Amino acid sequence: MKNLLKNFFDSNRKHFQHGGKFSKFEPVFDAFETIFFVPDNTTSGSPHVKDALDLKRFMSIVIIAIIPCMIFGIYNSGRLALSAKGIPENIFSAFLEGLVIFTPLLIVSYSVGLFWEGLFSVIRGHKVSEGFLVTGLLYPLILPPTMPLWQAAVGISFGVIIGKEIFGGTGRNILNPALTARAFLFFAYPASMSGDSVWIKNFSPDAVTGATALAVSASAEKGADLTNLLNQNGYDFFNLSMGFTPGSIGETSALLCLIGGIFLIITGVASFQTIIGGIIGAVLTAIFLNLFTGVSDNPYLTLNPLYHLVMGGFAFGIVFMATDPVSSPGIRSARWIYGFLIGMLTILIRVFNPAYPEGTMLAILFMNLFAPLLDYYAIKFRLKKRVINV
Amino acid sequence: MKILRIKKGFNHPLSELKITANFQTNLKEPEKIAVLPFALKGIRPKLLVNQNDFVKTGTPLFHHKNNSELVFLSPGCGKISNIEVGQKRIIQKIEIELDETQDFEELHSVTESSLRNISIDDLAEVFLKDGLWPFFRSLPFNTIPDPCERPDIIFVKMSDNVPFYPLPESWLKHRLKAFNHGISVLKKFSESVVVYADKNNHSIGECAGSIDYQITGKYPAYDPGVVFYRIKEKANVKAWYIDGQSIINIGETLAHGKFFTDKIFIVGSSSFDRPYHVKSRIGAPVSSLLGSDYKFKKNHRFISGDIFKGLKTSADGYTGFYESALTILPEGNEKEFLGFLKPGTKKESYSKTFLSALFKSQTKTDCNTHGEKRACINCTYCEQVCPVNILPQFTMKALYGDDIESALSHGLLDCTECGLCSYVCPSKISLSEIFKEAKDNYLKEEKA
Repeated sequence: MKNLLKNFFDSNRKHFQHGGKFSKFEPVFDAFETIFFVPDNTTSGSPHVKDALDLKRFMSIVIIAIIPCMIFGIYNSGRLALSAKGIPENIFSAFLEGLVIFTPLLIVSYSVGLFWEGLFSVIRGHKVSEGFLVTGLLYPLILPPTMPLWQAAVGISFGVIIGKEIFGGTGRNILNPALTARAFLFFAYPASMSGDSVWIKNFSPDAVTGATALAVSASAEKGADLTNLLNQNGYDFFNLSMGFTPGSIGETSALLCLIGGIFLIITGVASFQTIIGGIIGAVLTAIFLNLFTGVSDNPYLTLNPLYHLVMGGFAFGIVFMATDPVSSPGIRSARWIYGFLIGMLTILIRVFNPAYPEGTMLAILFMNLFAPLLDYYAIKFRLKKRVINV
Repeated sequence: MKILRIKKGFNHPLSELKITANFQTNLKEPEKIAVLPFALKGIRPKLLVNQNDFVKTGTPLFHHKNNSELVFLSPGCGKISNIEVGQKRIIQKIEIELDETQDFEELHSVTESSLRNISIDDLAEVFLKDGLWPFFRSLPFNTIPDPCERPDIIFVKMSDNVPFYPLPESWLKHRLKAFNHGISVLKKFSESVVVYADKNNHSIGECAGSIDYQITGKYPAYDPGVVFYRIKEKANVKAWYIDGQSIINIGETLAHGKFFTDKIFIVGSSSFDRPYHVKSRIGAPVSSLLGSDYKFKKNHRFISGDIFKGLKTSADGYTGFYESALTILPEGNEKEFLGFLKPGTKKESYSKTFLSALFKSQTKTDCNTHGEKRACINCTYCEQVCPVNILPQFTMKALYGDDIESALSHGLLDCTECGLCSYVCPSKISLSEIFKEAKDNYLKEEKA
């Protein structure tokens, strides 16, 4: 296998090198070759040694962390689809049904996204970056299972081109590309993205209602006790954290997001400052809002703060989206503030903005825009303590 | 004696190798030695000798073009067999074929008794004439200090935890008198001579009286730039530094009026588990430091110095003037199959993304970059290891946009060029090379 591939790449390399027939497609050839073989580049001078970690490994770690959420998401969306159709399910049939839903979305995401990545790399003559491997997997996981494929394709095109490539590609984007793609769909095709029963209705015309926890909360009567209401609808804390609930494919299980987050923190790939800051921000804001229970009849004010953490896409967003290093601040102390504000904004949007039932996506995108500003002040603060050597 | 703890940094797996003061003794004496003028930063050499000239130990070979006082002496006695000139007419090396007559030039001597009456300017002149001045280097540019400059503080580095650096006991043995003389001469130059050593090394107790700081921490805790960064309180302090071993060269030369050229090297490699010391001389060829039992296959890199800051040389090359180590690493220029998917029990990494982070097994070190260059993704690893608290990724981006003022305010000039930021970068950006270049350009512009 190894030698076969080696011979294949060695014999075809000449066509892609300078002066070859397909020299323009060198980045694509390189992208495929480097998946199988680490290049033989060596250091030119001091330092003579380099760390074994490269971007491919870095991104693979993120993908490993996402996989539990993905597998559970496949099972869960299959389970809900079968029950919506009124077919009794077991774990295998649910998983199979889930694969039928998820695989096309994944294929569309990767093929359309990589097409744009490759096109930009060929035109610009730079290498295909690994960043998209994560974006391409995250994107279908934050879509509803009923998303039409053509809309998914349009969304990821927007995410890759506007969210990333026009800024210069991975590492230079200011917004998280997967969330940019989702935000585009959210505003362009709201009928497919939100609403009471969109999550599973399309599977069958006479499906039972599939309102998400967020939808239940948003449509709660004024003055209602939201925690009780959610419990009555089957959204108690246990169910919400396990994730046997409707929602975007990968986001429902807060527990698996937590496991992925712990893995990312231990490996040092995601910054714990963002994740912990986000959780603190969300809980403190919710506790603060609880103080105003009697003042207004907004039902959200009564909600137990812990429910906020396991509802909707908060857990998935804070673990996998907010920790995207490129669109986060680059100073670790600023990441505390960045995470805290994401948590706070998520809760504020949920509670006070009835137009958007989910606040996580917009909160993260909004804070992406503020990341350079946070960096600017964090650097200023740090430099105050420095004895300048000029 | 104060203790200085330096928290940030990274210990490369090779520094786990146990080093003892063992000497390899059955090595051949070198037949040729060389001086490498290209490696002397900021020096534009003007030759004073020609090919086939006969030189004694201590005969001036060349001086700095802008200042003829700054001379560089021959570290051996014999015939100049080759002067190699490279691109842009930069003199690469001056080879000297050693002669059996070990003649020495008469140099000025400063004994303990005459030290009391000598003025600092006279002492500086003796240093320049005796070829001892180049042992000093100044911060932050690591250049040989200007002959009219006088230091506010001098750092003397006794030990280091970089792979590899000779143990102080290897070169202090029987030379304590010369060392103490050297230190008292240095104290003439500046009232604050800061000698620092490894906190855990108890075998240098004999000279404990002269040690001011005991250092503990990860690489590059022993870098003079890092120590200076930690203890400085104000700007515009002229700081010089010198290796502890060079103090012996100074002490012996001044005591006897003969250029003292002995030097202890340490030889280490990822291919053998015991680094060893060799007693040799300044400008020793690489081949003379290797025993016949160590046969290296073709694909190896010979580094004069350590793995982070050393100079690339070759099996038939020579060691540099300042470097007292020889490191041999496999070149690693082969394509690894599915490298990024392996669990990585033998991969070295600052991050914890390989299994080697869990099991402390011996890792494989080579000169491969382990990946391709990419754009910076803001992972902050460089900032986590930087011992002088620069913000490497922001400084790099500032320099990318030619914003030298921002880079300077981030502390570019505190950069000790330790190379850790380049080492840890998963995007394989040559951060420390970028900083080195920016500093060199700044120095040029400042001088102009």
